[in-house]
Amino acid sequence: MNDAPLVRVENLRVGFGAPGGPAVVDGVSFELHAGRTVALVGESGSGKSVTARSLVGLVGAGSWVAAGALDVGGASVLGPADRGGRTRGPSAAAWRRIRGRQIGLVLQDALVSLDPLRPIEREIGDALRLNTPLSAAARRTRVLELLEAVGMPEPAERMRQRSGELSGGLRQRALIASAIAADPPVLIADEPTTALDSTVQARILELLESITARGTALLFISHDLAVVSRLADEVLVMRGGRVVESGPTEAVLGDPQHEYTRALVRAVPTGVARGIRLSAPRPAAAMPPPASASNQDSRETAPESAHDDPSRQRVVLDVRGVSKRFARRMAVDDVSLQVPRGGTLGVVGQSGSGKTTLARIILGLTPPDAGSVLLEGGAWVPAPERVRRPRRPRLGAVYQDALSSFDPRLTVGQILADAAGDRSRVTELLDDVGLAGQVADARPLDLSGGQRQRVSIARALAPRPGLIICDEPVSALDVTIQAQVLDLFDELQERHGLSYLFISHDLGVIQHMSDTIAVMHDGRVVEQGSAAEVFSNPQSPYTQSLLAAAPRLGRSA
Amino acid sequence: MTLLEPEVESDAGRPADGRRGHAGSGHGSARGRVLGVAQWVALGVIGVLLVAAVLPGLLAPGDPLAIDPAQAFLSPRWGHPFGTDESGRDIYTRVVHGAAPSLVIGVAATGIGIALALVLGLAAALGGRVVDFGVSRFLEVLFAFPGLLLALLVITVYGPGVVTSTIAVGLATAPGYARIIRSQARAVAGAPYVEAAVVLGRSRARILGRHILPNALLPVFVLVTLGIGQAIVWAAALSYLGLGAEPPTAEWGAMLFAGKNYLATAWWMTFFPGLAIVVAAAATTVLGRALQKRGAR
Repeated sequence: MNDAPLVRVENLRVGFGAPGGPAVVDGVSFELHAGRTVALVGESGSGKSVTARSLVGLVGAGSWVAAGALDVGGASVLGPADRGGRTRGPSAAAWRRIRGRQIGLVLQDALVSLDPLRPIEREIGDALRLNTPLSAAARRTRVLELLEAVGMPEPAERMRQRSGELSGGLRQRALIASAIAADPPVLIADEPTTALDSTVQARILELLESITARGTALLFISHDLAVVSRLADEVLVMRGGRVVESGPTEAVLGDPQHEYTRALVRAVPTGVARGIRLSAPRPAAAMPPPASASNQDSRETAPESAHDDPSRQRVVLDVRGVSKRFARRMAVDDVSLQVPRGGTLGVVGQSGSGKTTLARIILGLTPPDAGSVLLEGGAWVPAPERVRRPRRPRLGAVYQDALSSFDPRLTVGQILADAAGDRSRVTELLDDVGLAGQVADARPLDLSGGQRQRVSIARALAPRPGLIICDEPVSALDVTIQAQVLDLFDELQERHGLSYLFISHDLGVIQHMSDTIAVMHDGRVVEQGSAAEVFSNPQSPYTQSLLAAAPRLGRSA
Repeated sequence: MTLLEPEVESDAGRPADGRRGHAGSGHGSARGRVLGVAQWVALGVIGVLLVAAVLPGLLAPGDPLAIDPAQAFLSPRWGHPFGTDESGRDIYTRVVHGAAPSLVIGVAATGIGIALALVLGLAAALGGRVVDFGVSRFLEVLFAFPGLLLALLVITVYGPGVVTSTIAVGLATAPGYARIIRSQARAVAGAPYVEAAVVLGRSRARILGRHILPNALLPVFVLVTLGIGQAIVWAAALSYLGLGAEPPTAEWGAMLFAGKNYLATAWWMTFFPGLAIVVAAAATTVLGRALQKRGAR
């Protein structure tokens, strides 16, 4: 491999609006070399995707791109600046020759990146038709080769299928096949595994590794430090459009110098013992403020006097042999679980494992076909809603998509007052989840993802429940925000003696949050035990494969 | 390559923050944005129409039915800004006094349509599978007839007149509203925030009243504003056909009907009532569109 970089980016600046105005990418420099992987890491809005897109001229309407150098394959793709300072890049035709032939692009969502009406043979064949002189018959053979190369099972049959007929992992393989079809020396992969289950993700990462082993340069974009640490030779940590830290992967992630990189590394929950904070402590939260201290007393006493018996139960939630069948598939198959008082049961599984159906059954939203659920020792499911309703306040829920769980007409204050049945408790509830009182006047739409999830937690707390069902509560959040929300869950558990049933696909989150763990696969609980046991000595082959597939962050000390 | 073309001009009703696709959440301040010029004009027109409908004497002190054969067929001039008709009645006075019946017919017809649609749409959305099936098939049958034809059918059966034509227009618009209400209510009833309310232990009645109805119906009332314009046009059309208000009533459609025989010699007899219909319909439509855009935010 020679030394000349395949792509050279120097002091790249990209913005929307007037040229020279505020830049969303500000001063990014890196080089891509054959066979090496450079990773851009950052949270949403950090400018990592915009950086990648500027290499293929796809930044979008109304944007400007400026750079000290922006070379692809030794030639600049940066035109001279015009009078307004707006640079004119290559013509549309020139960009088309760069895309596919020199740089292949793989995006996160293969479902929308592939035409749903065309078989994948045509999708991949197009890349060949446009960029190579192959005949139709030769293209067909090449498509087969490519599908084999990306590990597509039964390629001859699959190539006649449309993207909608393939699973997420196979779609992503097809997309990678089309990106590497014309054998470009550079491949850009923008969050290629974010939407995938961990075992599928592991296979896609292996595929990308094998592609770089053949000499392709890879620009890998991800928010996931664990994935990056496995794949990348070099890392650029981005925040707010700037590179805050860069260098060899082991150095940057193993011994981060910049405060933000440290926060990112620290926020990864994998392997962090239960109860240890993932985010820097909030001054206000470290010590419960007086307002919530007094409220703590009322909470301790109120439920006990009202529900004297139930609060002494050792097991808060008892799920007994619950089953639910949808059409011909068993969504939940004879599941039995127990949530101990004051403890957390983590339920982990991949998409389609029945986690959410189980949560809905427990919440009394979906009636099970068989089995029963006891809440604080009393019959809960199956029971008529009329019987369940008076005890509903004992059971809270936090959902993955907080925004859609709020009535769009209501302000945060109205939502919380509604849930608490008492307007005067709104400030206290906001304070409890670390939000300022002014948030009460905002609508959830105007809040950030982390704030919305805090409001959602405050709503769950409002009726003073004993147990909260958390269904993927942090999977839509950036890693540092996720860390803060996970810490909040811990704080609240301690403050109010809450029990959690915590559902996630993320092994790291589950390991960090749970006392006991249930692993679900195809609707069944395949393994159950204390968190330490399950992670250190998994018994079922499925748990073992899940643990093996989970990328881990090489953590120093 | 339309995607890469910069946005040139935003139309009057567009908010100033044209980048909400990027940053995601808009800021709270964008909520109370000012109306554009077109919306202010529309508001002004509706204001004038309301004054004309409630206190026509304020704008046109004369008697819309006063005959003066000596003054027949006068073209627009000082004293008769819109001219006079075949009996010497002042067209301007008649147009002003015609606002009330035209608007009342438009509003009442839309009200009837919405009321009927509410019953049908909500029953279909929330009444279970059997009711939904029955109502939906019934709506499909109604949809098979063009709206105006349905109105004509009703009038054929029950005879012409202001009341029947109002009811007829209302009936004809009901299926469209009903379908929208049904799909809105269904979507809202299945929304995660409705489930969240169930989990909080709210009763069915409370969930219906606090979450489902407001969220399902607010967008519909925006459509109503749009519908009033259409209903005014339809009601005028029926009057023009001689099936609604009858001459010499000062009603815009009826005035068109009376003027059509003199189209070649006295254009002002049809032009000014027609202009009133267009302006009224346009103003409500512009306002409805503005509300719709605002609601979509």
